Amino acid sequence: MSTNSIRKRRAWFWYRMLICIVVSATIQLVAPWWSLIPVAMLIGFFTAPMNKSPFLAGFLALFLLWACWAFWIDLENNSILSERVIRLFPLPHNSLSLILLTGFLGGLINGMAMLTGDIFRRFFLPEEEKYYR
Amino acid sequence: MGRVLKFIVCLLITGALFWVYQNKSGEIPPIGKFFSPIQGFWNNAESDKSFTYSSSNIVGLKQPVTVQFDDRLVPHIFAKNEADLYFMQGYITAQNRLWQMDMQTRVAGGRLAEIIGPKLLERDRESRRLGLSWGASRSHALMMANPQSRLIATSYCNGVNAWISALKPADYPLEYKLLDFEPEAWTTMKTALLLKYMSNMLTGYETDFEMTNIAKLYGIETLNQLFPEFPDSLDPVIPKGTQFVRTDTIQPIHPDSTYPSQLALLHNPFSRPDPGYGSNNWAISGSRSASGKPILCNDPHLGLNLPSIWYEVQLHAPGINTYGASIPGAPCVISGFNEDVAWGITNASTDVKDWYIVTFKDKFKQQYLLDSTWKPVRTLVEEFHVKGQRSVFDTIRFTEHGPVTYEETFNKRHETVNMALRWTAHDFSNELVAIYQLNKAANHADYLKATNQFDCPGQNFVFAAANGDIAIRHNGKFVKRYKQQGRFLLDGTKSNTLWQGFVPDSDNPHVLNPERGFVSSANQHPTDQSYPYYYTGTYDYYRNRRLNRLLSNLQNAKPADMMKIQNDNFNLCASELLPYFFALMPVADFTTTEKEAARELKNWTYINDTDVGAPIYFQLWLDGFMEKLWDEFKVDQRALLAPSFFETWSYLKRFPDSDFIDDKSTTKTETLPFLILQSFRNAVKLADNWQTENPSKPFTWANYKNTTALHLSQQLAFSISNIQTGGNEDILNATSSRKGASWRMIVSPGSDGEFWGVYPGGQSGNPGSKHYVDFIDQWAKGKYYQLLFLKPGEKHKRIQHVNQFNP
Repeated sequence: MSTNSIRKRRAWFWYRMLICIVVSATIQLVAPWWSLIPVAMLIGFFTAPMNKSPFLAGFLALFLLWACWAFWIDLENNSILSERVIRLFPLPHNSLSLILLTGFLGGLINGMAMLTGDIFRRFFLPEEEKYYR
Repeated sequence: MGRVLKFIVCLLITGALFWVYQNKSGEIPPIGKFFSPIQGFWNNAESDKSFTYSSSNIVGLKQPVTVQFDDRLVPHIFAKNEADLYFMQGYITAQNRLWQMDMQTRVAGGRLAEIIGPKLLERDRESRRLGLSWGASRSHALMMANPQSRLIATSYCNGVNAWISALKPADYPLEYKLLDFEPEAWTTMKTALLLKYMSNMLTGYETDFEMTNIAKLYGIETLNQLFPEFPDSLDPVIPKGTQFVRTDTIQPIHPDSTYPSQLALLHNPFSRPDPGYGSNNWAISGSRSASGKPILCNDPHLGLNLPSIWYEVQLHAPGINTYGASIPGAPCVISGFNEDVAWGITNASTDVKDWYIVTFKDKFKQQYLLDSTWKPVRTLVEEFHVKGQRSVFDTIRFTEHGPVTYEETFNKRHETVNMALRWTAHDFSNELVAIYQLNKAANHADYLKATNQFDCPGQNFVFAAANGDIAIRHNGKFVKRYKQQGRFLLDGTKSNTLWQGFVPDSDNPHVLNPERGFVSSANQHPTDQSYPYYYTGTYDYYRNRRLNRLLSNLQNAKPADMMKIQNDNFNLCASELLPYFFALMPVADFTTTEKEAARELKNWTYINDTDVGAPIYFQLWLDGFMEKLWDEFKVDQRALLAPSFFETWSYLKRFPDSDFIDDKSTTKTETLPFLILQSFRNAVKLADNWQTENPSKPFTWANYKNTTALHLSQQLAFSISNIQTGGNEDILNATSSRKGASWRMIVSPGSDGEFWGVYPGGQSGNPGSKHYVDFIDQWAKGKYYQLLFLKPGEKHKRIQHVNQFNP
């Protein structure tokens, strides 16, 4: 495989992640939280035919989206809320751990959804590509 | 094939995650819904904005309404008619306290299992068996029959619903998201329920089971020695020597027997509200104040909850301009002032709740005996929705007395006694219209007329007017009792034990402008023994004496002097008991720590300040001593009650060789000095243990007491612990670990008046708001805020947000 195509594949990792962030953010503004699942599945299905880490791309997408969103809210709120809510959980009692937890939980389900979409796509690939992986 | 398997596994994991993220499991909220920064809890974080102005339209308003929020988020509502005024009060209160309003009415109505699950079913059954919702429905009927109360209750209700209907799930208060349920529409019935919730909190405590059991065990003479009905050093609400007039000349008829003596000892399965829900209020006349005008003070002591039990508000419309503390869920101002007068409340503490032992004809319980006839029982089937389960049904039977609350189906020990509850909280009454008229009162006559309609919970209403009048009345619907009626369980098979009427309002103990220049109450006896009606209750013996002592020394008093009194930490109980304890304590071979503790106690000035250690020793000593002394009152979970500190102290002075002093579980004979020594040593040991267990905390009263404002969900995450305050029960600053001054107000009424207030919480019920607990520090330090009593159109620099609402 050429260096060029490797680079392309790496780039696709980021493209797909960015697409997921943008689409998921837009849809979540109007739809319930779980709309992220079909979004991630569809992106997993339609993009990045040669990507190796669909879970990671999905995970990072929602991790960044939710954590940054939470971080922004937390900044505007002077951490009043986060410092209370974090005490519900057996985690270090600071805002950052709540922000990271939020990102992690979003990332987890999104990564799984994208992985599922990605695997499903592979049923429709030509034989050689199946073996190529 | 491997790929198919991989796909299926991934799909299953995603599906499983979806399920966990969408549903509440145990204590864990639905993760996805809860954590989503767009719809979950993060959305409840309020951004910190400086001045804002908004204008919006609300369906339901008749004319435009302006709401100005000051720097403490107190809404000042300016409406052009009363319907709009109470509509906006409902709307704004819901905006800040919706979940609390919902929860408190669920508690009163016995509807917690519906949202939490089966573990709260027994609690729900208890609420409904106590007849709170039945009483609420009766009072609700009266409330809706009166045009004034109907208008305010309906407008308030519409306002709450206007707020709820505008909410999207993302906007629900945080607690809904945590517990995973949804707000439901408000009803006027819920307001009625909320007033019953307060009635239960303030009149729910009685000691009929305990007194009956003690009388049975030790005889009525001993009982009267332990619990004298009128102790010697009484300092009643209405000054001693006041002449009382009895307008009702028909004396109640006394039946032959006072209490049912043939019964076995009973236990009481019902949880009762804390008798420590007391309060202080007083007013001084112009002769004692620096300004020459009266000053009125009030601090109701209730559970320290978050969101706070009170919500401050100013209500203005043509014909009304009032400010004060309201109860979220009920229109009007409960403790507050207007342009002409001010008023405040303390609990009357007079018993209005009696138990009647009823005899059913057979196990079907369809008829009960009254005199010599079998009368039909009325039944009510209550349905309990239970989260995740099928509904549960409970049959409540009613006799002429009231609901048969005590039955073997509820009573976990399956005692076969059946008891009906007679309680003024069940009766038709319209407290809302009383409060509404009080909010508009202009003088003493208006105050009397308004409070005449306030039946339950009975309160000592203190009053002061800009024209100089001060007054207080032990107010409510009190039973016209024959002697000792209601002190014990009553025989429900005889009609001569039924209530024979009520004390006329005009005969309720009242005083206007007494010579001493002040009126006051702190849950003590309303009168001395010369009052021509019999009453019984659970009264305070310390705060009132301390308060009256301080008030009678006042000259040229300013609001700052009143603040000192509300925050007075002098421990009168300790000042009377400690010298007595030390005088009796035998000399022994004391350890160094014991000597140190004794020295600290002897040097103590009896002030329960935050940073001293002596009150810890004293409290542990007293508690341990009481436990040893009254060990007789812990028999096999039967309902028994040890005398209070004050009753104990006055009993021991009269009977220093009482048989109660001896610990029956030991062979040797314990004496008073021995008990005092033993409990002292034990107290020092316990204090030592506390220090070992809390190495990081200084050994101070505030740390030991650990005053906590607890969130209604019991979640410590949303509570504030270890609030640094002094005081304790039986002290004017009655702040114990979970109770205390829930609202402190100091007011000199009039157009040039002075208005001060503070409460342990904040205006917002949202843990994500900077106004959630912003008053707590100020409150703990005994400091106050100047209350902003705005004039219409006034632009004050403390106004932070202005909301204009148009129809």
